[in-house]
Amino acid sequence: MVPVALFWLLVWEGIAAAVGAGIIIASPRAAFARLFALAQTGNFWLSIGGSMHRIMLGFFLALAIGIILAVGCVASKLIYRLIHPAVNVINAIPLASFVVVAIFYFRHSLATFVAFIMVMPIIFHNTYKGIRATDPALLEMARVFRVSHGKRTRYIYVKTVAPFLLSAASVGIGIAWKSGISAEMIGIARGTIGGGLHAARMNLLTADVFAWTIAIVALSYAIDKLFALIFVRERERP
Amino acid sequence: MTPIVLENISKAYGGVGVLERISLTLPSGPTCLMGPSGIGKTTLAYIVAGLTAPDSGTMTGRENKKISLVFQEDRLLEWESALSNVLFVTPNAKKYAEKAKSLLTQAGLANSMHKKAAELSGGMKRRVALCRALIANYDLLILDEPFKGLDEETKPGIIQMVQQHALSTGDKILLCITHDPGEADALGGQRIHL
Repeated sequence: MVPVALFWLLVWEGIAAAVGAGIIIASPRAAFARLFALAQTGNFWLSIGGSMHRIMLGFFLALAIGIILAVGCVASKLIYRLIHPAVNVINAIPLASFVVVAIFYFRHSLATFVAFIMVMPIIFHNTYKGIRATDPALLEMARVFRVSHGKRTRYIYVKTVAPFLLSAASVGIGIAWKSGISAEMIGIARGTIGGGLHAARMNLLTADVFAWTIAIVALSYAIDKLFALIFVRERERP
Repeated sequence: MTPIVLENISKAYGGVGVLERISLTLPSGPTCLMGPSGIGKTTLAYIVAGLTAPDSGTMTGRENKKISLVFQEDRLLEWESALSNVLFVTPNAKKYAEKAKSLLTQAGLANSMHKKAAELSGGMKRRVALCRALIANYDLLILDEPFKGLDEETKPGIIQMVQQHALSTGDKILLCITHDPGEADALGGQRIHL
């Protein structure tokens, strides 16, 4: 891991040296120096907190609504006919189209809305697939023994759906993070990572742009690892 | 216990007749359903269980009867322990825990009851499926080749366990599918050859 990171830092350093213009490509040293300087300020951490809570709110809303809609679609053909095409349409609409409209309605919570709209279809489709993949022989067994719906859900459906949902959530969390910050940048949301990135770009502070990007990558990696840790523990519970 | 009466039951799959005008009566106590493979024993058992609808014929006496079943396949929750699989069909895990442990111990699974079903051998899984069927509250117990995969040393003890739990009160109906006349002898009751 460390030698690979060192190799790519050297490649970055080489490219920055070859270009020779810090305003176009900041060197790793300049970028990390700016990151260190930014990390000394309260605004940096407030921006991270601001982005984190908005994006995570969008992600968890997508998780909840995606699961509820998938369960509804399995339970009722009418709900399936109404919801399935609508989610497919949402999935096909480009992020930019949503942002230009949503910016008027969700000025302060644009990142939440965008993270939700990008992640919900992924959660929905995977949960729906997971429920459909449940072994009918086990469900028949549970029906014969008159096992309650709650117990069937806990012992059969949850176990079958969990791998589908985990992979969707793992992909979704990265997408929420990236799309949420893009939305903040487009919406020039002050006190957020995207807002910081936008300000750095407008002032041609390339080292700051790179510093913010490093912070985004590090946070994305940390959230992904934290998420994996929580769910691996959950899966290993007896 | 009201007997279950089947009259002129017929069933075909894809135009191929599996059961043709079968009539039989299942009184309280054991009934062994015998016959070569593919003759329709499982289909008939599933019709009695209400899992398959016959194409024609009538069945009476099954209304309001609680059913318990050992399927031809074990149908265990592979990710759950043997004990959890048995308790899965009970209304209250705490209340039935001792009974489940006692059944598993009697089935020779005292040291394996906390192992996941996926880790058990074929014969052990079969015994778990049988314990699950025996712990359920039922009027009609259907066993589809329940002793399949059990070695000759284990089998008599398991047959005795079925007799003790399913037949001791004399008010339950037991329908057992088997190829083995020895198993049918041990269970007693009527035999029906398809």
